[in-house]
Amino acid sequence: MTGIIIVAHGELAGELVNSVAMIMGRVPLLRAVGLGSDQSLDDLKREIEEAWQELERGGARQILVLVDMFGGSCSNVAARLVCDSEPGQIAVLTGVNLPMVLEASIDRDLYQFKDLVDKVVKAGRKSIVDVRAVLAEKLR
Amino acid sequence: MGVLLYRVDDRLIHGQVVVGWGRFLKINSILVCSERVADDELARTMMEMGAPADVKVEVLRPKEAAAKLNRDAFAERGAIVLFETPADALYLLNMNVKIEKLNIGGMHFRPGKRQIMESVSVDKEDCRALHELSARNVKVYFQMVPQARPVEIISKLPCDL
Repeated sequence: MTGIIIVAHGELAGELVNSVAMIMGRVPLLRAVGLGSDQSLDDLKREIEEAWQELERGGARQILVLVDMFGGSCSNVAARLVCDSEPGQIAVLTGVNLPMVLEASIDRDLYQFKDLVDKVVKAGRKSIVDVRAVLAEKLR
Repeated sequence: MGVLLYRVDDRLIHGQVVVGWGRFLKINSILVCSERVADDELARTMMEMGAPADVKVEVLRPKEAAAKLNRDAFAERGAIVLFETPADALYLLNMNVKIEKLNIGGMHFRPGKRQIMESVSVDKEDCRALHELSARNVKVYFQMVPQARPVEIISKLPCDL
């Protein structure tokens, strides 16, 4: 199964995990890493690597890293991890939101790693909806 | 297939139902059995929008829902039937709909209700309906999401309401 690490500024990653638990119950092989305001990026990288190792010990064969913002510190650190690894080993997606984490968690074992990554990208794109526009369409 | 889950959840279609139960049970239909929502176009539209595109959502008044279920309309599909209150579930039972198990999800606190466990508050009417469902061999259990353990609920109902 694929392990998931959410990496984000402040408390966001941990709270996304809590929100997922509220909707789906406890999800296996899902970890959160937060970047504190006074934390060094070397330290953040080490924390991600520790989470990665922990997930591998738990049985994860590949790692999906979901980070908050492309171009931010978290994604810059994650980019370094991508450069240092094989393509089938780790993927990093930016712009994490709750539907993406849910999609990544559901039926994870039924998908090839690459298909899982595609499915999570689609879920994230689809999740942004202008409610007024959709309602106007439906209620017309 | 058929109806895979009868559930009381005052939020009706939301994340726990669509993602938690829906994906777990691999359903393709949700029947919302509620007079209130059936009469409220915005609420109905929101319910329909909240489900994934491959899940068909229907909102019916309890009477229409009973007729549909008694025709075994979901025989070839996999469905979740949602109620806002246990009284609506009891109504279906009284209309001869076969309900073997009733899942209790959220019944949130409102003034006049008493909290008996996290996410479950009941008033006199809820108690009466839940007792009667149980007495008529419907297995009533609390379980928020599939990954949680089902919990017996009837013994927790207050007897002084």
